Formats: sequence, structure tokens, C-alpha cells
Amino acid sequence: MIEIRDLIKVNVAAFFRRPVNLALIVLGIPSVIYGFYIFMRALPDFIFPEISAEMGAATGTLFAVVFLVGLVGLFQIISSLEADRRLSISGFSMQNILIGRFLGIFIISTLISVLSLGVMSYWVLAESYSRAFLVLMLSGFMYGMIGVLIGSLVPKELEASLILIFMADLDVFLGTGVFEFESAVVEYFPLHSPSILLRSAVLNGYLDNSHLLVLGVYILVFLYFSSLAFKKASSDEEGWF
Amino acid sequence: MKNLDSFKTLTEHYFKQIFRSRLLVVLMFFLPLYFIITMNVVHPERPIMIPIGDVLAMEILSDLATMTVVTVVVSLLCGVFGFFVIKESDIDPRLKIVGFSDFEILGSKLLLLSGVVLFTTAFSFLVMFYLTVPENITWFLIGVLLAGANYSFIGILAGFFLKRLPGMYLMLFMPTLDLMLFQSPMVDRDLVGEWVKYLPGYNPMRVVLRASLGLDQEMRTIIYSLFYLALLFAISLFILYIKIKTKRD
Repeated sequence: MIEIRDLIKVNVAAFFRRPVNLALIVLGIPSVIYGFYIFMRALPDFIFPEISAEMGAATGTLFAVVFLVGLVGLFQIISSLEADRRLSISGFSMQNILIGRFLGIFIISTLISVLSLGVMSYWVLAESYSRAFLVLMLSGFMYGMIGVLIGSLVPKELEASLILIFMADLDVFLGTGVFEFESAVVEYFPLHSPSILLRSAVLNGYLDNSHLLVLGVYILVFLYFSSLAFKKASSDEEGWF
Repeated sequence: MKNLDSFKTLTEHYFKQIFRSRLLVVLMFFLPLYFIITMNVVHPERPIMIPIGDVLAMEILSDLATMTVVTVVVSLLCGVFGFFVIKESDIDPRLKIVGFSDFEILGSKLLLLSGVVLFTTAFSFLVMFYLTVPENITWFLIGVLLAGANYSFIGILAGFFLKRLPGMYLMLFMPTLDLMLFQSPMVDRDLVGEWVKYLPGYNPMRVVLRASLGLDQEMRTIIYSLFYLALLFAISLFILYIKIKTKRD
């Protein structure tokens, strides 16, 4: 237990030590939320009758959280694969290293969700903060796992973060249903359920159980695959590619 | 004649050095396809009235989005390449030792960059051509080239001040925010404020929009954008020169 606590502490501290991360929190979160808010507020009503500025702010908050936590998962994995190998040589069990990493991501996801919700409130007040927070935290954690997965598969900072950016972009544009896009494929995008949940939490203070269930399943699936990828990556000399 | 040979050798050298990174090759072809096709797909095919100056022009929304995103993707790629042209200069001091002059090094870097600007514009235009065609192709291309050139110089500035990761993020987000949000014809001018007029995408986007909709170009916009371009060019030339001059082995 003490071992895991130390590992979590190391991981969370490592996140706040990077200046890029702090810059992304201070500048990135407000500008993304403001950008989405103003963009959707400005779209002509007769073309996009379903889109409102409130929706824009909620979607922007979701994007900010998943993108940042995704980056956290990604950078942690890339910068620490070497260190993890050494930790495991010096007696930490692989199981605990893994749990420490994931709990670290979870805690960071919690912090970023709280911050982003606070920033969002400047433009839009949520009906139910606890429900909005729950959705944001879980979606952030899911993208943290996706970040770990990408980082283990492509262990290069720049390349991997570009993959994450474009994936999150596409996910937000198509999966969230902001634009009407007639294809069933988008319903399987990771952010499809979270965006519906978040919008209903912000606008009506209500959560749909079936979408919550879908989100839970996605988290479990990504948790499974990212731990597989993580174990593989930190036991080999190099990544998969 | 010697100058010409040196330019050829150096440009070839920088070309190989930059494109050795597979990431840039992938981005060069993937980004236009991804951006242009996605934008075309997500916007509904409904007509929309766009206020341009004091006239209202009508255009199909998905066509408009497709045409404006060409400017975004070209600027983005040119910015990234401008960034890497200045980042990949570790070998310059050695090139100087073997006898290439500062002028030749600088010139070949700019030559390569202009090649990239032309190529990305041509490729993005081709992708767009399958989906929609602007009313005035010549002015459209001029506008896109102006935006691309502006951002390639911004990329040089970023390469001088920033490291690889933050610089790359800046070159991804700045053109996207500038051209897709602040200069977007669908966004209400009053909401974004006056300051967006000073962004590098403002004048090129006006040219592109007028060309897409088949309106006459304003002389003022073109003079402003050439002036803006010349200013950025002078600053980045100065920075490139300093970088080459002061770099030691």
C-alpha cells in the first residue's frame, strides 16, 4: 500500500513539474472552452438550430479535459518507460507500478475536471455540478488510458501527441454529434456517450443510465488494452514499433 | 555559375534532412486529406448568406467550409515546415567550413520553404478540386499562398524561440484558431473583436473568401497583405541570418 502511495505521489508530482503542462492548464483550458463557446454561439441559428453556446461551452470543456488527460497518460508512459524498468529491477512489482500510474492519471483527471468546470462556469452555469464532474472525470480517465495506449504503441513524444490530437479532434467533431452526420459509425466513437451525458448534466442536471453504462464499458476496455500495452512496452527493450 | 551549383546541392541537402523525418511526409499528405474531407462531410449542404463587407453573398455551407479549410491546412503545414527548416540547422556551421556562404545557406533554406508552400497549396487545391471549385481560381490560389507564406515565416520565428514540442503545438493551434475561428466567415465579427485584424490570417482570408464567392478583390486588402508579408519576411530573414551567423560548431 505504501509502495502504491509513493508511486502515485511520484506520478502526480512529475506532471506538475513540466512547464508545458502548466502552460496548457493555464492557457489551454480557457482558450479551448472560450473557442468552442464563441464558435457555436456565432453559428447561424437557421443552419444549426440544435446548437447553442451552452452546448459549445460543455463540448469545449469535454475536449479540454480529455485532451489534457490524454496527454498526461501519453507523456507519462513515454518519459517513464525507462524509469519503470529500473523501478521494477529495484524491487517494485510491475502490478504496483501499473496501479500507481493509473491512479496517478485518475487523480490528475479529477483535478483537471474540477479546474475545467470552474473555468466553464465563467460562461455557462451547470444545472448539476456533481453529475457534470462525474462525467468529465470518467471521460478524462478514459482518454488517459487511450493516451497510455498510444504512448506504448508509438513511444515518441511528438508523433504520439499528434496522433492523440487528431484522434480527439475527430472524436469531438463527429462523435459528439455537434454536427449532424448521418452514419452509425460515429455512435461508437469514445466521446459519443460522454458528450450526451455531459450536455444533459449541464443543461438539465440529468444523467442517462444507459450512456453511463456505455462509458463504463469503454473505460474497462481501454483499461484492459492499455495495461496490456503498458506491460508489453515496459518489459521490452523498445516499444512495439 | 558556382552559386547555382551550391544552391542546388544545399537545397537537396536540406530537402533530405527535413524529409528524413517520416512524420513530416505523413503530415504533408495526411493533413490536407483529413481536414478538407472532414470539413466537407460535417457541414450540411444548405445555402447560407454570408456578409462580406456590405454585401450579402450566398453559398452552400459545405462548399464554403471546404474552401476556407484549404487556407487553414496550407497555413498549418507551411508553419510546421518553416519551424523545421530553422530547427534542423545543426549542420550549418560545418557547411560553412566546407565553403558555402551565409547567403547560399539562407537562400537554399528559403528555396526549400517556397517549394513546400507551393507543393502543399497545389496538393490541397487538388483535394478540394474533387469536392468543390471556387469562383475565381487565380485569386483563390493567391490568397492561399499569401496565408501559407505568412505562416511559414511565423514558423521560422517559432523555431527561433521555442523547442520542438511547444513549437509544434503553437504551429498546430495558432493557424487553426486564427483561420478557422477568428477569421471564419460564419463567426459574427462583433463577437471576436477588432484585434483579430492584426493576425496573419486576416487579409489572406479576405482574399480567399472574395475569390471563393466570385466577388471583386479590394485593392486595400491586397496592399495590406503584401505589406504584412514583407514585414514578416524581413523579420524572419533577419532571424535566419542571425542564426546562421552566430551558430558555432
